[in-house]
Amino acid sequence: MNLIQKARMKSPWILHFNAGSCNGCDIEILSCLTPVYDIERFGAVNVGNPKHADVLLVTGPVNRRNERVLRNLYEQMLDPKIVVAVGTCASSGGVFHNCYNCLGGVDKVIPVDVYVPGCAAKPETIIEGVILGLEKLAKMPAKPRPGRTSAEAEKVEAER
Amino acid sequence: MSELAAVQGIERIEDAPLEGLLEAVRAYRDRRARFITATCLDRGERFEILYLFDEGLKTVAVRTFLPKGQRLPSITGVYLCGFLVENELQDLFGIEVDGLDIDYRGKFLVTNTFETPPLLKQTTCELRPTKEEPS
Amino acid sequence: MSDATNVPFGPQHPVLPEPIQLRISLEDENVLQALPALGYVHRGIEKAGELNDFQQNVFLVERVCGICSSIHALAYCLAVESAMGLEVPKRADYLRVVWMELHRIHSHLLYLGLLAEAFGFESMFMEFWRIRERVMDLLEMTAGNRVIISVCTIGGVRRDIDAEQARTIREELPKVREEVQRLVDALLGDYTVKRRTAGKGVISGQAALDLGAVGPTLRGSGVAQDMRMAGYAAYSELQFQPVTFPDGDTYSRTAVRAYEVFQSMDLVLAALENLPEGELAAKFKGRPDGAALARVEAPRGELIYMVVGNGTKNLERMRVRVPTYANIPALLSVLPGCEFADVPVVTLSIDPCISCTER
Repeated sequence: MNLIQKARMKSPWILHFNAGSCNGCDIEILSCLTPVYDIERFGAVNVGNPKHADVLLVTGPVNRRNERVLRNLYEQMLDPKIVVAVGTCASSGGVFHNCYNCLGGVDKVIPVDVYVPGCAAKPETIIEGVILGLEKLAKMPAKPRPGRTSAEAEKVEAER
Repeated sequence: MSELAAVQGIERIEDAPLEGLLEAVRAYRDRRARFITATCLDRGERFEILYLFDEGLKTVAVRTFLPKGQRLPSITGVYLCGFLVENELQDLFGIEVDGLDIDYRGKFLVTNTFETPPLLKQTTCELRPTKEEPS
Repeated sequence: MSDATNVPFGPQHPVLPEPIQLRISLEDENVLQALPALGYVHRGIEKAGELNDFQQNVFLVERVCGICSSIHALAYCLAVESAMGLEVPKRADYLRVVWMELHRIHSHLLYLGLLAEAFGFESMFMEFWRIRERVMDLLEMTAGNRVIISVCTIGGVRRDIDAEQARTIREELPKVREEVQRLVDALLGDYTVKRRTAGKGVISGQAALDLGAVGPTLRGSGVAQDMRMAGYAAYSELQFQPVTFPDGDTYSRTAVRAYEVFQSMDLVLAALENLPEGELAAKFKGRPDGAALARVEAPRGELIYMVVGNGTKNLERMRVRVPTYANIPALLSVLPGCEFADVPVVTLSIDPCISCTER
């Protein structure tokens, strides 16, 4: 493990995206930031800029209008990156399985690394999910892997 | 072709013909009733539309029937706050509303993605064949 | 308006927990016009409510909105019960009040924290949310889950609060009250907070009524209207007076919510005090045939469910009208004339809940 990988493990920056969730998981993610759960003790910081983020937390079943926004955000994040689907509806569609405007899960749009169960997912579970994702992140090469490269990274790769 | 006989919780339902709708709504406005919302039911050949008002914590309603294919007059001239629900009627029931103050042209909640409006009866919500990414 | 600048506010913006876009046209720093662009959270719950069994719908409507979820379930259950002519046991009525008011406390504390963050008072945001966790603990203890508590069912409630739990609530709430009091004094008495909130986004009582505003937005303009006055569940037997503030600005709306936290604590304690013995849920047979409308007071205002049954296990129509839906016209009417820097605070002052609005 080189220095950069170690640093990444010690301080994951998190981007949160609400893809049509009911707010239940979103307020639990916010709870993670506040004094009782305080994920900043793991060095995690909530950022608003996808280019800064290592971890993408997605809540909600993804609807037809924000599908494109989600894909954009994912493609703007630089490799290596992990995606954590928070909550039952982000994992599988859950209770919204028969709603006409829902795609039924984050993995219908972008590849997902960790599925966090629960409706709404508890802060403890969300923290556990992020930590599991970090273990995966540690093993990732800095280079984009085949099959999950973003369009932008592919272009850079081709130009090399 | 059925219609609502009585609704528990609604004090009275006043029937108004389509052309008399605005007068009936204006009468509530003059009595300073608060507009709550409109509710639409798909009744086969026609739509049953209820406009709900609050009068001192009691709910009252004006009902009108709209044959499918006809246009609905907008109440935004009387109650401006009706624009949200009328845009929703355009989106989800495919009703065309005349004289809408702020008109999203059917792109309020969904973006023209479905073959038939999703809240009609007997629709399976088939997606329209996509040509390009909707803008 | 050729020299107006158009600024999109959202869908991803730090003060908005949810995706909504406001398209704001500015002249210099002043807002000329604001229009919402919705649809980022629209799922199609009204249709799914027709496809599901009417008993399964209780779990669906709880997920219309995670912040006031149990109140959605209550409104739906009240509507179905009234369509079926079901009598709810007294104990269930009182237990419903306990859970609904605990939910209101957590929602209002959440709002007060977010508002503090919106004008850059980060430590107060953290403090409010720290206290809120103790209310969440009470919800978890009594219902088994923190946010979506699933206590209401058609005919009553699914869980009981035993004497031990009731004692814990009675001991805990006064402590929470003390801490909230300290923070609310700081929030409402502070000079900088007043400068940021007083006189911003003013809406008169008559204008609020004309635009159909509900809940704290309406009560912050001095109109005493609260659906709890209509006395559903056990509210008719508890002493209840709505909280109002006269000025109609962001400060008034915040003060209404702050004082409602204390009022809700009193209601929880009173409901626990008078908790009658008895059944938890009425047994029923049959299916809803006929229509009913239920109006309840959610933390953000009046919430309406209308169900139309047709004698089968599926409903003919389920209609949801949520409070934020009614408050958006009021918000749009106060934004023109504001300074751009005040837009986040004024927007937050109606406590928007977009997942409710779009269903």
